[in-house]
Amino acid sequence: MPVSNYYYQLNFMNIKKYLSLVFVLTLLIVGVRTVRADDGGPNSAFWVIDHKTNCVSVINPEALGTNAFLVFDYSAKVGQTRGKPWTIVEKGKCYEVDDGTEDMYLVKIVKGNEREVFSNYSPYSPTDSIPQIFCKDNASNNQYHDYDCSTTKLGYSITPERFLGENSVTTTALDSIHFTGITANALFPTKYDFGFPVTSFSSTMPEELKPIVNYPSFVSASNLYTSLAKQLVGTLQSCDTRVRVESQYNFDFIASYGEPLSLHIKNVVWKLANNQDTVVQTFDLGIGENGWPKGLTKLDVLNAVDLMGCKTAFSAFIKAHQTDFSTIDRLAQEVITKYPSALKKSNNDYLSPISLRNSAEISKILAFANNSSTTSGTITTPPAQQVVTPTVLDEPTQEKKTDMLVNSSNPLMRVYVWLPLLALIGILGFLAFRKK
Amino acid sequence: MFIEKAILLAYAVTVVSETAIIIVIQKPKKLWQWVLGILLINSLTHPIAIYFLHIQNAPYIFVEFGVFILEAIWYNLAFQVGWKKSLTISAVANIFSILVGIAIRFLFGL
Repeated sequence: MPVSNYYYQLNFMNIKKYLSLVFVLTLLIVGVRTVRADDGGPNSAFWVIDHKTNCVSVINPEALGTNAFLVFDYSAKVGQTRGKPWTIVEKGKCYEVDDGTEDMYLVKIVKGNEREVFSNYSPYSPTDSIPQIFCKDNASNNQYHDYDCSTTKLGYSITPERFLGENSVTTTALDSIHFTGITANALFPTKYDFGFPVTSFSSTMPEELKPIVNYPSFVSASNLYTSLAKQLVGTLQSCDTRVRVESQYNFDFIASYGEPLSLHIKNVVWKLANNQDTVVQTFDLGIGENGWPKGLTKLDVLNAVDLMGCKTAFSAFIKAHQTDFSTIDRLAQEVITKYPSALKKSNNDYLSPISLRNSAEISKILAFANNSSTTSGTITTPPAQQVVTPTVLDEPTQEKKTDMLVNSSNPLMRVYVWLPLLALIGILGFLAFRKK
Repeated sequence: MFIEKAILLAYAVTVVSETAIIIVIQKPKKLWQWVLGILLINSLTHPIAIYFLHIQNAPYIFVEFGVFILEAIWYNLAFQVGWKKSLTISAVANIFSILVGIAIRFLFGL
């Protein structure tokens, strides 16, 4: 054996020894970490575009016991992308909310075959809905439906949970100045706040307000105010790096609701750019001043802007519009001088369109904007942050996944699905060629 | 991440990383035959593995083991390198491509 070959063999044997060890260790690690490929591990993102998604999950569906279960009814659009019209709610999964037509249904086991019936999608179209299939339609014509699930068509016990699919990830800047729970104007460092009235005044406006809202200074100020709010919404939408907004629901006892066990929102969780799940709002079971539960805690808007990855853009916006904010305050002052009743006296004063902003709030906004060193990368977490168990988005059915692969619009993907056949021909050719 | 891009990227990463590591450890004389052989076997196993993993939700470890065995059989059949060596080549190539995949996901946040 030549010396060079001997060294090569020796070298190869050493590599083999160490790499065998690495192989066994890697198999162990990979095996432990990814028992199943769809368990939320690194490969789960293959199927679901988990970007700017609004979804709902139920923390404790097991609280229903064995005699009932929850079904999430998708919107028509999401139903089509998932290949199923509804799905049985499972712990640890998040169900996409799209247009507000979704709902959750409590199905009590009466006939015994409910689980099979609600998980067999083949008789239905992905755009079907639970009421359409299982509830009685009391409508007198085919144009408008009036489904009554208390009297089901097929003898099942179905109760709509009337869940609220709020907390949309983004909202349009055209009709609303609200953005993901943040009222854009709440972030303005102005002395006077026009807030809600500038976007809600309509033809139903009270007569006594007409002179005020038609006063040129008010018109100019409110136009500028609304325009700035829309611009800020646009800015926040473009810098938002969050992956999804998840509304976590829980079966719980809330004595003041007068119901023994009910489904209610527990947490609003943002999945941030670094895939960290952060609780931004949580349900406060304590009793408020009015005797009702306090409900969801108020969103810390400045911290929210930071979490979204928008601190730098927000600071730039505030600095660029200092003159506009001064103009708004000057015009508002003119309105108040002319019509003192324009200034709100109390929170219950609904007929005054302008309110005085808390000076501490203004200082807080300015301090936040001036300290523009972004915390991105070392994202600060809100005081209410809790550890939450990560959820995965509900996946399409196996048939839908196959359909997505085979009928892809991507030409490379269409080649990819035929690769095994092409490769098999190539392999046979290769072997035949080698034998010759 | 978008499904199609992820699958195509995974395929490209597997082919390139396996080719690179096998060239390094094997230093083949008939280079083009090895490159073609690696491309062919991965074109056969990758879509099948994706099907079992992401459509049938089969356990990852079993699918990966199946790929390892298939590739080992192929290297022995195609290049007559012996069972021991072909098993080693397949193991090293698969481990390396898994590690490269993990590194890419980690580095690019995929």
